[in-house]
Amino acid sequence: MSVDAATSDGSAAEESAGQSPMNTVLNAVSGYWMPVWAILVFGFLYAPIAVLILFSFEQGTFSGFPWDGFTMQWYVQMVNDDRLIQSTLNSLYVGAFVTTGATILGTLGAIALVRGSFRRKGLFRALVIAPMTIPGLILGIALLLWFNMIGFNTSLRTVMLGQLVFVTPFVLITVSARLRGFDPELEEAARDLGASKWQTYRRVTLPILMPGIISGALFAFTLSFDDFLIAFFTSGVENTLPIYIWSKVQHGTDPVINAISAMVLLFSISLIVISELLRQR
Amino acid sequence: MVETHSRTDTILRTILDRVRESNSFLVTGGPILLLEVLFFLAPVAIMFYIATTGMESLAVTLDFTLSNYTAVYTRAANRVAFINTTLIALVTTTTAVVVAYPFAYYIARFGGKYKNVLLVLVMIPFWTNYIVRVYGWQIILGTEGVLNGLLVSLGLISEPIGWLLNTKFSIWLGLTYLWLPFMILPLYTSLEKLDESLIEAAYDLGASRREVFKRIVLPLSIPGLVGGIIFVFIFSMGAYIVPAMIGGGELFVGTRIAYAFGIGSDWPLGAALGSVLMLIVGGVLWSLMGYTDIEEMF
Repeated sequence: MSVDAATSDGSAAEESAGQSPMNTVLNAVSGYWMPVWAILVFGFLYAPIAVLILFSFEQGTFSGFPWDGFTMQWYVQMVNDDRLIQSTLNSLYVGAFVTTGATILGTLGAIALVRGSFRRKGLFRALVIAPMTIPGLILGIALLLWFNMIGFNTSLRTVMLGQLVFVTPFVLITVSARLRGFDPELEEAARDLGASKWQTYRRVTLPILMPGIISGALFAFTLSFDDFLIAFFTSGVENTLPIYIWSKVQHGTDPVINAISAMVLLFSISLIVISELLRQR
Repeated sequence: MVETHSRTDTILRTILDRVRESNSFLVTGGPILLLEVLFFLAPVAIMFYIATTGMESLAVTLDFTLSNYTAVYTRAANRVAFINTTLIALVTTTTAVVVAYPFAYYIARFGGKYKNVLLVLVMIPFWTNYIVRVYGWQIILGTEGVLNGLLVSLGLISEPIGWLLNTKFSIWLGLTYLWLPFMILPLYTSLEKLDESLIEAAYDLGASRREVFKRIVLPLSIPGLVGGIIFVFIFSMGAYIVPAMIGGGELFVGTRIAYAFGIGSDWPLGAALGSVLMLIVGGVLWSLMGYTDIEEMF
């Protein structure tokens, strides 16, 4: 069911029959199948999310029909899980560092990429973008081998370094999009009106870039908070939240996982919504 | 107090003046370059190197050998894993194109004032924890899962469908689900830029819908299409969570690699598998990158 298939049917009918009833039917189908398709795709994207949230309130220990009744007990169990709290704190700690580092390095890198004029810019661009296109699994094992070789003990610190590698390019891209959309003449005008370089930077450049930087930072935090593969291979004995969820999932289905999932989803969703509101400002 | 303030101000001013100079690359581009060389290029290079070493009693020995690379092909499990993974990645990419194209086209052209809201609705699953979402599918697809339960209670089937979970089907479904936004977003970006008047002009000049699609919409959406294909194919090739969580025992490259680094404790073999995977990923990027602009995609 591609666009090609649908439109080819329509045009074949047009060519042979002109305004025949057949053509009217086809027009009606081709007029409505896309919104229906869009609704189905949204249903597909949200099905697992909806199921998790729904069953986090179900009484039975098995997540399936029939419905056994409403309960909040999985949320109570979740709040009393010490290892869960600890791994969440670890994730927040790692996320804070990664966000700060990636935002600074990514913003500076974006300035170099958009405003800089230097030889081998193409090579620089490839090198700072490639890490976000490489599967996390490859990066994870490569970092494990590297840390092992240079004698870094794996801990939350190595997780931070590893996450910085693939998170920073996302910030760089977000900020450089903003930087490219902004007219350098604004800066020149400020300079002409007597502003110093520092004043121009603080009063013109930074405020214009700020939405890009903040949305980049929020993306960075989300990516770090959700990362499993880098943390899985480079965290040593310490747990981040995704690793804890993973280990719980390995032991079979447990309604507490539904409750944790619902909270994680709610958290990510609010971050993304804030970020998007800023981006579209 | 005032003095220190003006001093930091002066220092900041000096730094920023340096940033402005054309040879300021070391300040702006330097840090990220250092990061990526030390913790991206070096680790990947080391992976290729470790793949040529041996492992004895849980320690890597530095004797040169190519046996790990040959084991990627000669050992049936690895070979089958690569074949399975490539085929599933190809089918997943095709499915993602077919599902995402009309969807992105519809939002881009007919979304109107709801465009941004609809786009955020696509972004939300894209940026939420993927283990959690794959776990959601585990609940839906199981023999006693939500979907089977629903179908049985509606009387559509008498016995639960067994092949929904832990099969190649569930890997395909899971991967399509996980990477679909990577196809939708770049396609949307391309299609959104498409000038409506070009389409109208083509119709006015007597073009059929098929011709309009083939000669205007499709060619102008190539950057987004190729970008989406790159991401979906690469990430499907390198997937681990989906085959490990809902793939049953199906042989898959990602699970083979994780096994080599885990219970299998054969790091050099794992590194060799990772290296071959990296070559495939690099090859795909190298050959398709020219048709798209990754920076424009998000």
